Amino acid sequence: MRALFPVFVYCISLLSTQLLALPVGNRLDFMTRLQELREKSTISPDITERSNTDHGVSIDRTTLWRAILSRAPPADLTGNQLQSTVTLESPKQRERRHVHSRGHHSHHHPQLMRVGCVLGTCQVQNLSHRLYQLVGQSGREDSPINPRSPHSYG
Amino acid sequence: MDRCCITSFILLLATSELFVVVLSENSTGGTKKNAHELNFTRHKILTAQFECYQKIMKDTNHNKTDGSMCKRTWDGWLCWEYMEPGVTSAQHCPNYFDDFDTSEVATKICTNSGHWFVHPESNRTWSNYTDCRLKSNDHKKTALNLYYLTLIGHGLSLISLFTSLGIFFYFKSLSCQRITLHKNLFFSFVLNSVITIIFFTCVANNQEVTEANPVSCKVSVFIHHYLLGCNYFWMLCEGIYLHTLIVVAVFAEKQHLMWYYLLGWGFPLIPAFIHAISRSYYYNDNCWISSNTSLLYIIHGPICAALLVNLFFLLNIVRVLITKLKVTHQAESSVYMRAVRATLILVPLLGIQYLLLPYKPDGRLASEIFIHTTNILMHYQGLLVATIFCFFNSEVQGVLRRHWNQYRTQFGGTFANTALRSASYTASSMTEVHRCYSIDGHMDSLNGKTFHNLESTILRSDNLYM
Repeated sequence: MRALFPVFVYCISLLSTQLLALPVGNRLDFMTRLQELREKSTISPDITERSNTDHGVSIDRTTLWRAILSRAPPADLTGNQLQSTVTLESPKQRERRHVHSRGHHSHHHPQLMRVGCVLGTCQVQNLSHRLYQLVGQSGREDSPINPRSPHSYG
Repeated sequence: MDRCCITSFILLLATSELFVVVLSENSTGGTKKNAHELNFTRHKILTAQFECYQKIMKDTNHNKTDGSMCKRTWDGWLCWEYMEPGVTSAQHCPNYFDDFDTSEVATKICTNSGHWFVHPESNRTWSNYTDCRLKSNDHKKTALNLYYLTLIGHGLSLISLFTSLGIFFYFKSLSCQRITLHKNLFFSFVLNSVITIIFFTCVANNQEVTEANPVSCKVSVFIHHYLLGCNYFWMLCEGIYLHTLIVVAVFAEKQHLMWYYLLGWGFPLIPAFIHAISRSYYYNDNCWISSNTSLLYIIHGPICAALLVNLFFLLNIVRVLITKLKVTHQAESSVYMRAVRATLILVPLLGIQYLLLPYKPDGRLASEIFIHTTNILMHYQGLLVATIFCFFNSEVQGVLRRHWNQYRTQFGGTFANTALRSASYTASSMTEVHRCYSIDGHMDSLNGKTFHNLESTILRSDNLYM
């Protein structure tokens, strides 16, 4: 019974987050697939027995996940688009998102560290960057849920 | 315990694989564009989620020892790190969705009890992404307004600059060192305006180009940086020339233009190349379009240094001008009025307006005012400089007026007009020599060694900078 608890936690967490991100049609398909997965649950013990060492497990996990991600774009994309789609964000850009503020039991909105050029002569660079951020990136859809809603992400 | 983790994670991977299968099925049924959009967003979210779970798995042991902190967690869109109780964690909004503004901030509250904030209405853990979408449309409008302001400003500048260059090149009588420097400055303004318009229309506001990230768009960024540097360093050349003429050696021989060409067209290549190489190694983003990097100071540091030198030149020129005008016993109000006029004329020529608003202030409203003001001063500077130093230049006006009179005289064709034309030629010849080769004029005056001539020379120095 203890062994099953983390499994349930992961499944429920992942299922709830992904279902909310999906359109309604995909949710129904997802539920169908989930039921099919239950029928195949007998395969699990075999998978467990095969991977004994930690080293092997870590390699398999990473490789398998990246293989799944790399299969995401359909085959009809051109080479350039395929490359841009598969490319990961650079670590430096992601690291800048994390800024923690310390407050004495208060929850004020923190001022994130300012990055980039603040000189008056940098207006062309700053404006082109803003246009790229706000207007220039295609391939994105609108957010699936109102972020203000109490049922939004957490 | 390892078995438990292995089992749970394998099941997690299996579920994700199922998700991808569903995605593939949906893509075959829908349109190409819809499939592309879904893949883009899902791919980014899955990548971020994978990396977040990697961090969570690594910290399994650490997770047990710190029971009093809010745990690292994935909320569906972003990964939130460990946080002490009573603190609010903040990150920039993610770029998954078209209506999310990545310059805004998402927050997540770690309560005093060491748990992430739970929304009272839904009783579910909740992150605050409200600001991500709240002002996105307003920011889009502001950015597009600035975009059109930029294009209009550079368009008007190009019209006036081309007209000025046409006048300077067509009328040979206007050729002299000062006008040559003006030609080069105006030409650098023209090239800067052209590359700015090309960059904004073909790169910055073009989705296909920025996503495809071809080499040509990075080359256009490099050219833009080089011509931007040329523009500012030709302003520095103007400052050096005027400072040498008025302050250092008023009656010196003609200066060598070679050094000006090297400084104006050659030197800006150095920071442009250094920036291109550094950008390739340290921050190689799509089309090098991001301004969230300190590498831009490789370009704008020398530019600011040139502007500071020009500020020193301007102050020194005005100081010398006031001193000399006082020597001639002019009324004080007249002296200072002339000094103010000289300052206002030289500020756009030397680019001093950028130092009046040096850097972006904090605060939403002040920042907006700063951005609009600096954009106007920057993109309409070419129009202002062409208007002051060509259309309002007395020599240019004189030459244009004379040619217009000659044009009318030729079509008159009467005997009486011939005499007038002859007189006009004599007057114009004297004016041209006197006005354009003012340095030689000063030397001739000094050779005369009369007080009257010396006084006239000093008075004429007021017009040297035009």
